[in-house]
Amino acid sequence: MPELAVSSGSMSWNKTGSWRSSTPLHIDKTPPCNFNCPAGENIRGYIDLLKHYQTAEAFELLTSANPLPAVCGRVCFHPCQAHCNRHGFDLAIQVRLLEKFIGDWGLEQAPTKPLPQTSGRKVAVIGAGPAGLAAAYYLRRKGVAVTMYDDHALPGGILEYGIPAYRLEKDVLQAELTRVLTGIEFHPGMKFGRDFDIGALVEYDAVFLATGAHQSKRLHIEGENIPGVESGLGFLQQLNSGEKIDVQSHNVLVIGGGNTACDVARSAYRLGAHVTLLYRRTEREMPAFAEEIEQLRAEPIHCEFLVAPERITRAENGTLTLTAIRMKLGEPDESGRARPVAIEGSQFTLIADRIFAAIGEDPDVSFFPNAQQHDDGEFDFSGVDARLAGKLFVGGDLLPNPRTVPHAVGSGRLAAEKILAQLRGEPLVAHDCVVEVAGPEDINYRYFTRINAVKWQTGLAAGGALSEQSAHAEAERCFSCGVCSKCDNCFNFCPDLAVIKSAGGYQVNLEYCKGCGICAAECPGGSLRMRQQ
Amino acid sequence: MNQGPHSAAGRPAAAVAMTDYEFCSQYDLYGHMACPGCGEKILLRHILNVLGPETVIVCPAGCAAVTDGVFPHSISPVPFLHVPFDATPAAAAGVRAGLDLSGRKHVTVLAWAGDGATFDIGMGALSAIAERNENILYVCYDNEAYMNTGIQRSSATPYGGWSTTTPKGQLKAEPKKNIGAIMAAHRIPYFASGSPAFLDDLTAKVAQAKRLSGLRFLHLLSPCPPGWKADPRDGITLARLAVESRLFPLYEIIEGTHYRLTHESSGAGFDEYLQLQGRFRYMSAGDRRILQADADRFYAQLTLRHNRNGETTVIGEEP
Repeated sequence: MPELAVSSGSMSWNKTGSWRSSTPLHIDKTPPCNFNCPAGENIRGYIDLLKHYQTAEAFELLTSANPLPAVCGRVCFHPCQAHCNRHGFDLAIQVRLLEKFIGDWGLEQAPTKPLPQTSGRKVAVIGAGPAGLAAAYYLRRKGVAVTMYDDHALPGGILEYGIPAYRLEKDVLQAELTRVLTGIEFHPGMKFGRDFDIGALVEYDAVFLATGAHQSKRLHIEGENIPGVESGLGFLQQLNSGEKIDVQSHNVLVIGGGNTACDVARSAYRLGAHVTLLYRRTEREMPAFAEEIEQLRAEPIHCEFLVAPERITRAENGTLTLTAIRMKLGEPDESGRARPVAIEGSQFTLIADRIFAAIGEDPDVSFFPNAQQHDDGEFDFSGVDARLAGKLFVGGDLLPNPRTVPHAVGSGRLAAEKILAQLRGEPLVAHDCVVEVAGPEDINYRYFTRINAVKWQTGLAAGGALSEQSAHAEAERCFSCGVCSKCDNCFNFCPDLAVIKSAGGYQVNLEYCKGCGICAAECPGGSLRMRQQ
Repeated sequence: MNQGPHSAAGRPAAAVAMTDYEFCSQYDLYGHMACPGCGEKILLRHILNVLGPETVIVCPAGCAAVTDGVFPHSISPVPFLHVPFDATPAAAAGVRAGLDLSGRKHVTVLAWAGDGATFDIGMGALSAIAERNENILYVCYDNEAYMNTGIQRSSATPYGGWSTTTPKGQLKAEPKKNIGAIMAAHRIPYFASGSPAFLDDLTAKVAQAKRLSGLRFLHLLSPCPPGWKADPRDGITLARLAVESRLFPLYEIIEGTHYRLTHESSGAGFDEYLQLQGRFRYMSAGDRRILQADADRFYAQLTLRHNRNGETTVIGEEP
């Protein structure tokens, strides 16, 4: 025996993995922001890039799903924020401001990338709204020649003619559209069915139809066609076309509770009118986005809830009299909202100079007289013309989706993918349909400190836009729900050194992992879980 | 004794630039015998990462000695000397003298002992090396009982805690020994407490201790799932709750007089800390109040001393 007994071998023969009864697995879940984005943006992904000051990469990632970030940063209703796991903890990540920051960065600093050569494939896009723009953008970037038609003089559709300038600055829109339309042949003032027809489309390999919803719904009351009673969308279009509209000191009534109604009311107020908004349900049931309602209510616009119009008459001097009836809320209808029921004998009258009806819009598909419409609102164009068989794709407001800009963008990008797959002669690869969304139960809240929401928000919004520093600070608050943020916790806290860092993240050495579960318990965003063996 | 690959005895001093986790990651530290979720092994690897290869570990009987390996095997990347239960300080002083005489003053002697060997059995020898201010880094991984031998109470077991020698009905009636005050009374250059849940704080303290010479003492909380009757996955959670609930505040004592809190404990999580552990299951509501009041009092004392030292960061309000 030596003077002092000395160990010389390692313990690596002792495969402690055999002690394990459950195994840690790195399985990313879908963050709720990504899951709820109608445009399909990887929101968590670009926030992560902002954390590392990689604004250029963030712009690249964002525009891979949505070519209009500066626009959407201003007009999107951001369901990502409503579903953010930080919402309820202190304050949802202000994705709206981050998206706007990235979009504005792109307008100023994004390098112009050379477009690929066109391959000889040609696609016609009818309608230059957000859906058509998105489809054209992604098709062109895959080498497809795109010809775009729109009946208006300017591209943008609802962005140009529907959304008021106080919500979306014209120079921002124009700058973004210039980038998107690079390399795309645009034909303004070409209305499908009036200025060209199916015959002109035969030469294309595919046709994307996204003509939107422009036809205002009728009120179906007596006197809705008399002068002075107009459609709200028409008013916005006139206004956005630069027409002078004199409603200074006029009494203006706006009928409706959607986004158009809010935009009409707020625009008329900005022109100096005394505005009253009438809605047949209560503020809670208004279909407009929460943000719009909040801003509407912050302005001196009078709102009459639980009121429905019954009749409009016009006096000799042009004064309009609206007879309205008070409503009460009854049982929920098929939309889940309480059905308004008229209260007998509660009629009253309102005097106005102008009345705008904004109770919704319908698509106008008169160019295809034989188009079918299903009960759910979806159009069936399959039988309209043999020359378009298998080549016609639709998007935007022609689909039975909520009528929002991000939904339109999402439908446009999806159509581009479908068209590209068809041009290659491949079936469209279906995206994973079953996704697991990371909820609050997946978050280890111990790793996050609550902030003072009001104070934080005020500080961020100073100046209306984020600086690079404040964008970074805001991105730092992201939980990275369900997706590994490479925080090293699993690596650091493993008593058995069984978590190995690898290029893509972490691997578990199952030969030695004893299955204690510390890594899963200490994973801040919940991308690690234990599975029983 | 394990003649590690980077044996301090066999190699000249080399300036090894340590980056994160470089040291431990390059060695075969797999296959140790510690229970799933052991806090001691988390602490040791992070300490060795800071100390680097020019280190000798002196370790008495206890979990660390047993789980290091089965003779003639060891996981330790540095020499690891097994010594009798009560003799850690004396043996460490001997190793120190030997290294110094052979011109290796730069090698760190790490005494790595549990609470039993520190608070109870090695207390006399510990006082001796503290009084002589031996150039040793003494680290106590405190799992608050004699876990390796079957969960017998030590003087580090908290008030009201269960152990096999303080069973239901006869729970520990004495408060945990205040090791910080004992070490401060010896006026050693550096004392600090640490928790594996606060790794940045921990590694900064180890680095500070490495920079200094003389007797440096680190008191580290080491979660023990089997002994605390807790779910192994909750080890780090408990280490964090212990700090936040003020039962195990993070602080330093410099030269025995200058107190400094290194983390402001929120005071939250006391009930959760007790609920997650079976060893506190038999405590009465009254006992819980006593334990919490004691922790709050100690924390208030630390706060007072911290603020009186003229620290730029003022913690809480003076009681």
